[in-house]
Amino acid sequence: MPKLIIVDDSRTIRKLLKKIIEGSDFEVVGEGSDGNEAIALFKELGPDLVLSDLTMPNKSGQDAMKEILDYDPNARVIIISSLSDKNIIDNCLKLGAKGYIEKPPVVETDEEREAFFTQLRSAIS
Amino acid sequence: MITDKFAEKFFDLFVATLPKMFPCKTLVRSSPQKNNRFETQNSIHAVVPFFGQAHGAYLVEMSWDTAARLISQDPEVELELPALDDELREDVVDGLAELINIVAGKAVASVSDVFSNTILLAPQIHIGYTRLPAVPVISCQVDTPHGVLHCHFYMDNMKTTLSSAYDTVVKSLEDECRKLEQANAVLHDTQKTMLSQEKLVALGQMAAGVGHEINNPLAVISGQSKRMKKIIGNELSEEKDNHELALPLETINRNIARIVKIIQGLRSFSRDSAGDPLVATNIKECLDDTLGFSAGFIKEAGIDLKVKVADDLIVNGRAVQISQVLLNLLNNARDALSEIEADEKWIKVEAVQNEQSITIHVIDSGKGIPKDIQVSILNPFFTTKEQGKGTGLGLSISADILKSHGGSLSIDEASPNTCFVLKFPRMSL
Repeated sequence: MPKLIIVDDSRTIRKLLKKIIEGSDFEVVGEGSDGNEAIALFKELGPDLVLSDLTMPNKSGQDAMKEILDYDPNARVIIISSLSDKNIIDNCLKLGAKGYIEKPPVVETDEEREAFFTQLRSAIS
Repeated sequence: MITDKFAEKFFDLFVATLPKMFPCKTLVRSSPQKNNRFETQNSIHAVVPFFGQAHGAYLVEMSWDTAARLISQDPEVELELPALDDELREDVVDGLAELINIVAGKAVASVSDVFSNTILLAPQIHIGYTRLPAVPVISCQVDTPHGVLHCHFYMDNMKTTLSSAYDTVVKSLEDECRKLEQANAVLHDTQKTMLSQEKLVALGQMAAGVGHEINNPLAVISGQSKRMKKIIGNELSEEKDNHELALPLETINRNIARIVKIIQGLRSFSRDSAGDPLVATNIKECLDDTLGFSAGFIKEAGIDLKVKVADDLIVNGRAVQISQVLLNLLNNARDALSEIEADEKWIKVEAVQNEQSITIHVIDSGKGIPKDIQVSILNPFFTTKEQGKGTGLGLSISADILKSHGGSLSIDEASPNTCFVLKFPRMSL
């Protein structure tokens, strides 16, 4: 089962993501609330995928992603952010992020659920 | 009007986003209403201020009960406001901050065509009494199964107008700065050119001085050489063995004549002739003066020089200036040909006359001047030479000189080679 970590300074978003992922073919192995925790968790747990917010205290998601990719060029990171960060999102995609999920993540219908997990699967394939 | 649109967008996005984060079976939104000021005793207020091209804030307020039920999704939740470190209280603060941040982010993105440069501040959660500055507020009520929420949007039009005026001033300042930078660049170039011109003037004065100093000993050498020729000539008739001296002496005399010519050219070139009157001037003599000290450089560059100019072409002009133009064109041609690889390199100077004019063509074996450069090539400060090698003034000054002669300097676009055309009006006799 692919392992992933969730990094977001909002516990509400972390809860939402965990709830969506529970019972799927992915396993949430760690949670962080800023960029530094993202890097530490990645090095410690070696997850297959990182779901990361951008605007976070101490270290931004973009900076954390750069460090993670420097540490492991094969790391897979998906950005989870709101539309107001559009320029940063574009920049992250150029820097090597495997995708972008808009906040709040929504899986109300089967199609939305399928689209969400397809994006996760294609990021690690 | 734009404020109404802005507010409407915010309310729509709020009711669309809220149930995705905190499920609500039913959600009813009232129509927007305008109020002159905002004040509430409701317990929880989530605010996202924005500034930039527009100034204002998004705001949502509700009672603690409603917030607690909404965030926890538990209708039996403890309804008293808990202590600061309580987990539910932290959940409410975090959940509302995230909700309004997402909604405000989408709202700002949706009006980016109007306010392209608007920045959101981090969401703030206040607990207690809130009163905003005395600005008009647009509000709506959202009924949920957990209780009533109030959404508000306010835009400080005075600050927005000031911001717009500020943007205009900044833009105008930027434009002025750009213009000043351009003017400064032109001044800088002019200064460089003036320095270079000053150097040329100094060089000219030096050349005139050197010419003057050389002229006197040269006259002595020339005189003595002629005398020697005369002596040998006399002796030759008696002692035929001496005839071996005649040939070297002839060479010496020919070279003395050449040095005299070069000195003459230098002396006439080094004086300012702009104020001289226009007088009958022989084109061939001008060209010979120029070639006196430029033919050598052309030959050294491996360039074949072909001259086809009749001896009797007379224009109303200033010889020094005409020589200056010819020298400039010949130097340009030599520089251009030196930069290219070609089996055959040549420069031709040809002159023809008709009833109205005398035309000189200075042609080189280059492939012509690109069309886009032709437009600017006669402008001052335009140069394609590398920095420090050309002032960009030679052709512009040459064109002015031709103009002051009632003629013109142009490029022959039809020629397959690089061809400059100097046209002088025919002198009326």
